[in-house]
Amino acid sequence: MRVKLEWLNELVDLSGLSLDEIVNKASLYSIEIEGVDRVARGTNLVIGYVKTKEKHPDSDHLNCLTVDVGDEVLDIVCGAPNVEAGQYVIVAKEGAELIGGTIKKSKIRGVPSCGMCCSLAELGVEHKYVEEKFANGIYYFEKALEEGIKVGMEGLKALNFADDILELGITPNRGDLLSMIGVAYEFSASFDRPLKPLTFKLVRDAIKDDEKIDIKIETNGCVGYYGQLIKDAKLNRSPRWLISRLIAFGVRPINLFVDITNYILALFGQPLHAFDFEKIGRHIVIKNASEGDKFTTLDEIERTLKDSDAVITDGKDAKCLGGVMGGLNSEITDSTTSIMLEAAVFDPMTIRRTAARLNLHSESSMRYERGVDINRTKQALDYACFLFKTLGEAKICGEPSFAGIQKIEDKKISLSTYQVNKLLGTNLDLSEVKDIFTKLNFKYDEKENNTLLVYVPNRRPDITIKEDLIEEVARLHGYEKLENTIPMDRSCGKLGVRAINKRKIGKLLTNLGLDEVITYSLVSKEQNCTFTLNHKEGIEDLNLLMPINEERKTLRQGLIPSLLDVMKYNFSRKIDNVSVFEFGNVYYNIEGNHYEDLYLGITMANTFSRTRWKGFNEKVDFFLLKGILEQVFASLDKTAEYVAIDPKCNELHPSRTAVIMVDGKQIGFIGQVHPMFARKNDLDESYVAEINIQSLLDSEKDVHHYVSVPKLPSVERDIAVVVKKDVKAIDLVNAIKKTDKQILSDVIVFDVYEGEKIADDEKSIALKLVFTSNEPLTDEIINAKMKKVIKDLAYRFNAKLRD
Amino acid sequence: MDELNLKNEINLDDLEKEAIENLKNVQNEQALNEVKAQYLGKKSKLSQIMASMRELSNDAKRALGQKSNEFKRKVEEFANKKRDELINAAVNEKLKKEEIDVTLPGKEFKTGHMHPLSQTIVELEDLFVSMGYEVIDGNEVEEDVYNFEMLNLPKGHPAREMQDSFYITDNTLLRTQTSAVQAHALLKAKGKPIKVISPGKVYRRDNDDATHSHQFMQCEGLVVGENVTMADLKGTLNILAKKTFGDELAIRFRPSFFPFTEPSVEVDVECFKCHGKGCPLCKGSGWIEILGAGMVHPNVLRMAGYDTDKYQGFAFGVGVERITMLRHGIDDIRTFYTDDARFLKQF
Repeated sequence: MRVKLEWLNELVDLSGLSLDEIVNKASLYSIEIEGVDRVARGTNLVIGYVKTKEKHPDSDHLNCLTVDVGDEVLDIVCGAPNVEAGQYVIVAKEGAELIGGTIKKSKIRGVPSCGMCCSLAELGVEHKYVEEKFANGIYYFEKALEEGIKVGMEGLKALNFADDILELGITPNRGDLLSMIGVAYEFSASFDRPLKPLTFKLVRDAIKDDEKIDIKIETNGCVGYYGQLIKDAKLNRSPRWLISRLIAFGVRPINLFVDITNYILALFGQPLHAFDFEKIGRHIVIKNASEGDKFTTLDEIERTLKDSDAVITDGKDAKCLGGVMGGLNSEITDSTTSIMLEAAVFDPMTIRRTAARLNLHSESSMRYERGVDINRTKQALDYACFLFKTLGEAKICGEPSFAGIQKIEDKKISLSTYQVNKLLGTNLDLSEVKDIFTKLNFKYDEKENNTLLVYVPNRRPDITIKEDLIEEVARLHGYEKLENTIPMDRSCGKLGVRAINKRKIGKLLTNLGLDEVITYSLVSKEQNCTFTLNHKEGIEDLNLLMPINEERKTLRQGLIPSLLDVMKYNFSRKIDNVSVFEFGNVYYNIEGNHYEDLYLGITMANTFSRTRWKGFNEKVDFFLLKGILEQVFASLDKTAEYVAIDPKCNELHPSRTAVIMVDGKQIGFIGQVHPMFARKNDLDESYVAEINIQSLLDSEKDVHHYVSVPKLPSVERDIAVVVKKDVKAIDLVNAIKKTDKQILSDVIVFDVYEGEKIADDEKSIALKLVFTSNEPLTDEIINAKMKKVIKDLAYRFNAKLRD
Repeated sequence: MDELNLKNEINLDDLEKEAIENLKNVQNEQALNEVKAQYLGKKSKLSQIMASMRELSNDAKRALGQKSNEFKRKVEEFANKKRDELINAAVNEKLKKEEIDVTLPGKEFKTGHMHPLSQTIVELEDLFVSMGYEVIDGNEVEEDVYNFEMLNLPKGHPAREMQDSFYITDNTLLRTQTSAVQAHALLKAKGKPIKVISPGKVYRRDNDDATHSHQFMQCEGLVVGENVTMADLKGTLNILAKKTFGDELAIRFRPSFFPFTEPSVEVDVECFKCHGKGCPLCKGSGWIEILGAGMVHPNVLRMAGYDTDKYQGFAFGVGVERITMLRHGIDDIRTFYTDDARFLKQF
């Protein structure tokens, strides 16, 4: 809502308040002022009278003027095609600061020029507000004498653009502030300034019986409807004050009839609609549209109606989409002289539904959606008639016809100072609370126990319960007066186990050199079809009904595609040592139910660590990533198994991929990105892992029982065995561990060898066995254990001791 | 006997001089050992002299014994001294060769960094846990009823337009605000006092630009009790602002509107750049908007089964990106989601 201060001052006395004061106080006590604007700008502008006009001796299109600006007569060379002697124009005198620069005395093709006659564009008026006849030339006052325009007047004042416009940030509950009168009430309360009542005297003309309009409401979509016949209206030129106020409000002046309806909209927040009386007739029926009916609105677009839309009909055909937009079939034209003026209130929900469905949001629908005060409708209509009569010389044919609810009583809400102080933590007494309602122009009755019965006028539909009244008290009392206290209770703060574990893993991974990233949950369909090893059987994507674009269409079921995007982004910027992880939800749908699980994704590529001048460069490989995962699981007190699989997909290496099992359940995967996939996506040799980590994070860690430290040093024995290549190291280790449960404390793989002296289909694995005991371990004991191990490995794996 | 004594005496004194002279001239430890053996070893002159001792009288034996011990001690002492010198020299020589350029860079450890938004969330969590709040989780895919209806935003409410939403079905959407956890938390608390915060991701149907992101993060706070007042809200947010932006900075409330709070306020913090004087960061006002808050609307409490005659409370929602951007002077919200390594390593 744009509020012209000159206009507002006519409705509430703001004299003596500076702009800064108004802006700051309004923001603190009332409503946010999002900006302060002006329609036009410029200094040193005066009204001048063009005394003479002669052709420039040396130009086809320039004219030499003498312009009387009051204290002097200026020679001005002017290029505007529409300049004539006898016009009252706006002159930028020497030194004037305009948007385009400073005006200086100069010679134009040899003729001295001491100023400039201004166009509206040169004063900064937006093109859309400039009437066509002034669009390609200077502005001049057509009714200068009638409108009191005199030579020497300040230029912007003459245009009525010399004041500021407040841009109010209206919250959806404060529809009442979408009118100048509403803002006047609000500022009257906020600044404790008196309202200035609107005074006018309308004398209606006689009406013939056969001109009487009858109105029937047959829908819940219309609350009340006034119809006023206006005859013999003349499409006179709208006066300067009307035009300037409409422009400041943000509406383009069109013609007197339209301008009057818009003026009433801005002033009262009451939308009006002017029908051509000849086209609608005197039998008005407001009803629900017939489902599927076609109707062409004023913007010449054919709309398909639904039975939830309220339409204004002549009993038969729709003539107006009630509260939203008029119809082409009843539009007023330049030749219209008889008008059926509608002043109505429609049901907010009905208007909202219709406007949203047709995506047809107008100044009218915006106000109806937020609630228009029917108690003010008649006054608005009367004022409109007054303007039609005074500006358009029209005949106002009798009192308007009406159907519906004419007056809505004030809401009565009881409120005690106890309730106010309990919610706010204040210590207000009754007189302070009463004072605030007086400022708001709310009546009240005083009851027992410091209680008021407050009468909330219909102009404030946002106030329905006592808490709404407390808000009025709070803001007008001033939030700055609230104390700073904190809740008094005995609660003990708590971070959930998931958050604790998540922090722990995050710390671990960053300490290991990985960066945490956060990426978007919404991905493309294509991305969601890659790296699907963790996708559960029979589940479906969750897709947006109305995505912004194809890239953000579906909720991700895995983190890897987004993480690879991060890798790709960084690689293309020559950052090659990127290792990243992300905690993020994945989302899916099973039989119509939606689920989300917290996943951990890790991607690594190229260099992990290095000391360049030493030539040391640790490349990322499968086992580096696996080592990191092992740290993750260890810190969660879990051990994972890695089972090689052929992922049978284009994204992962067929022989360097494993699924990760914890407690016998598959919870993730690890693997190298398929070299072809990497190439296509501008990635280096990359490794990825993804874990459904939610349940692991949610499990509370048991308190550890201390295990005593062995008193004697451990004994170590190394063996190297030759086995077939398909024998897995983990199987050897597990088999060895099974041979002894007492003193064998660890089995470590420390070398794997293939090549010379080993058959092509075989490999040598070297293992270190660690024996620990609190009793002395003799060679005899160890040898016996080793013998058992060797025998067992020979039996299970056909393993031979390597020479 | 005298003759022998004299001979031995002379011999040992000379021998000592000779030994020390020879030891003086050795260049390395091995030569030193050889010289030492020459005078003190089994085949040394000393051994020969000692071997002849049995022919001597007891007195002479004692005297010779003393003399030879003296000789041994002196030679050994000198040899040890010489050895230390030699070792020192050798080590010094080696150290000289071991000179390094200390200005060469050390091993490159790549330390990772938590995402700046995570860091902000951790700070918020720690602050509020210290004030007795429980941190709870919420769903990102949410039912309309929790995201809107139970927050006093029935279908058709004009405030729904404030947040254009990503719907998945007619009744399921990506939550537009962490306030969606309020109803869940209240229902779970079954009409009893509650004091929680809940950070997380939210989504709005905005085109991404410098100040808008279709995905961003909020941290919701909710306190309900018998005597939780708006002054408590102000005091709590004052602590939050001081902790986040600096100790001397004040906050202020401005009237606003949220369907799920009444009264509702926008909360500004005094501009930490100009301390209220007015600068480009605060657009000259001296204040910066940081969050929205208010007293929980009785309809929200009632719908969740609370006795509104007894219970009241406050709620607030902090924009995690917003305060992170303000604190670090980050001017484009998209930076958080691009994850440029050069950006991340600054935090």
